[in-house]
Amino acid sequence: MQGNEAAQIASAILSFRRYRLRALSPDIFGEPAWDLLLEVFVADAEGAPMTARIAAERSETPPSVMSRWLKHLSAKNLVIGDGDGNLDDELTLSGAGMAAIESVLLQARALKDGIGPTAGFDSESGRLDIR
Amino acid sequence: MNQADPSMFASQLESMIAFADAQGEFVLGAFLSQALDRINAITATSQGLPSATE
Repeated sequence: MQGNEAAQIASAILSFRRYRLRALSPDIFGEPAWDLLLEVFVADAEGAPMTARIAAERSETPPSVMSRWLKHLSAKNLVIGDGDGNLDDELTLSGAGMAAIESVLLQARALKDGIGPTAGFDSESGRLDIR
Repeated sequence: MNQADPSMFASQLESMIAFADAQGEFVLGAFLSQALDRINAITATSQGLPSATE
């Protein structure tokens, strides 16, 4: 998968997640670490700076919450910043973080490509077989 | 029926968050911070103040 395509998928996932917030309610969603990882991935692909504060505002996550997720992601060596939870640090993904996100996006693309055409009827079970 | 004191909840949550941070348990700290933010929002709403999360 080309980096540009991976960034497009990540960007689409983020757009979808923001759409959910508007269509329903921020109260029933929340996965700040995932939002932050995707934001950093997309920003990196676009050569744009990204901070946890920007990601927090976009995902409507309280700063105090995002700061702790940032500390956790830094401690797990997925994100590289100063590691102190400073929301204004410019962030990049570590090698391990980049590999993990690319793996997830590859799976997302495989799932997208599998929607529709591969669904078939299983005559033995009498049910739709969607892979 | 007992009337709960939200300020006590907030104080207890702040202590728990400090403990989690000190232990390096940032995921726990994040969830507790989310809870504290919600408690503060409820308290602000009940007092007619604008919520920090809204």
